[in-house]
Amino acid sequence: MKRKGIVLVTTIGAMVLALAVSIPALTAGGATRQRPRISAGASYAPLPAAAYTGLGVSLNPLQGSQLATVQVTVSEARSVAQERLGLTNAEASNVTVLVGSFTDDEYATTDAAGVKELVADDLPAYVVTFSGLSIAAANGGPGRNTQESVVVDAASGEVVEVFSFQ
Amino acid sequence: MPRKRRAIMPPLAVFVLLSSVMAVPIIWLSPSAGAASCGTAEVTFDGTNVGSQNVYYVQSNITTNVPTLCGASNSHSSAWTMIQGSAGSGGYAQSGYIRLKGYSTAHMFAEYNEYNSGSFHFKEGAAAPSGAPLYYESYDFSAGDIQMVVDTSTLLLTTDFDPELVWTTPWVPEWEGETHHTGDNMPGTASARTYFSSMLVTTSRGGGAVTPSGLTVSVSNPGTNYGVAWDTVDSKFDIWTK
Repeated sequence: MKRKGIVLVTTIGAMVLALAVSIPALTAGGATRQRPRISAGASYAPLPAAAYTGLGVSLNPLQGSQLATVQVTVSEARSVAQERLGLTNAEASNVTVLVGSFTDDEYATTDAAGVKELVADDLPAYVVTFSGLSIAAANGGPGRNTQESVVVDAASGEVVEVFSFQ
Repeated sequence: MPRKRRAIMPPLAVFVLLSSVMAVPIIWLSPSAGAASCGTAEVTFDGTNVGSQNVYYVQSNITTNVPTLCGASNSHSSAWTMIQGSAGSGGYAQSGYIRLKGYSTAHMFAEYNEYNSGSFHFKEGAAAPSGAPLYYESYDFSAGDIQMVVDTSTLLLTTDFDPELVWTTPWVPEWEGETHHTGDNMPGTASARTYFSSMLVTTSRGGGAVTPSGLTVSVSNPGTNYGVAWDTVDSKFDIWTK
């Protein structure tokens, strides 16, 4: 019994540590009280450099003030993303979920006065990436991609955009 | 009284009840049976031929019509404008709207590829607005890239390379509807067609937008149930599923 207790405590400690490492911003500045909706299964990591050079998209760590805006759980974000792409459970089995502050430096509207506004600028969001797919190019050419990502607004659950580059 | 009703339920009633319950999954499974109506998996273009003019800008208003899909795993229906490197040897940059399997509506998209093979860059934004928004590709001589614009003024994507350093000329224009399964509908129906209008190009640096020339329209796969017709040669045409 004593051994089991030690194992249990060690396991819980490892989980807490893993969460703290994977989402460093969550534990910064005593912000842990504001993250009831983020659960295990999502972590922060920057997007590949090619995502920025090719598409203008990037992901940074959530800051303290952004944590309170997260209302969507990881499983909800994943479900929304899977539904958006119309993937079966088998097709969606190879998935990674990142959470962070999402910016798309290219996707922008311009109003009549010529003022440019980014559609997603430091937006708390999940980036749900499905791998192992076979995605045909929209121009009908021979190009194929194997990954597709869905950006889900972490506050509203709305899909912000879909992108693919590899 | 309720006890009595339960007690006298005859075997036939039980059978009817079970049958009605069993019918639910049978009906629910019918969409997979519908995949048989998807025909063959092949890419079909419905629109202009690849133009021969060297262009730096291509535009068109395109009527938003959410196409019906047959439900195959690669179901795809889209309408777009494009600039591409010469004779298909180069890459391409395009924008328009697209509906893929699983989507309930059509979304604005842009896509480019430095070469006409390998990985491509794809981005999809908001739902395509009703009406006939403007889509265009424009080469920026100063920045050395092609910008892909949707809904008149929303920049969606920019190439991460300078086509002038990669593609050979002429860069040619194209306007098309496209499906990836012969059972998928092309955007537009006989009674509500999808119009490509205000078709314009620029052919030189600093030159004004002009009507393209020398275009023809056709369906790349004549065996399909798609139609295309000029409304005004070189300037406006429409596509539909018959």
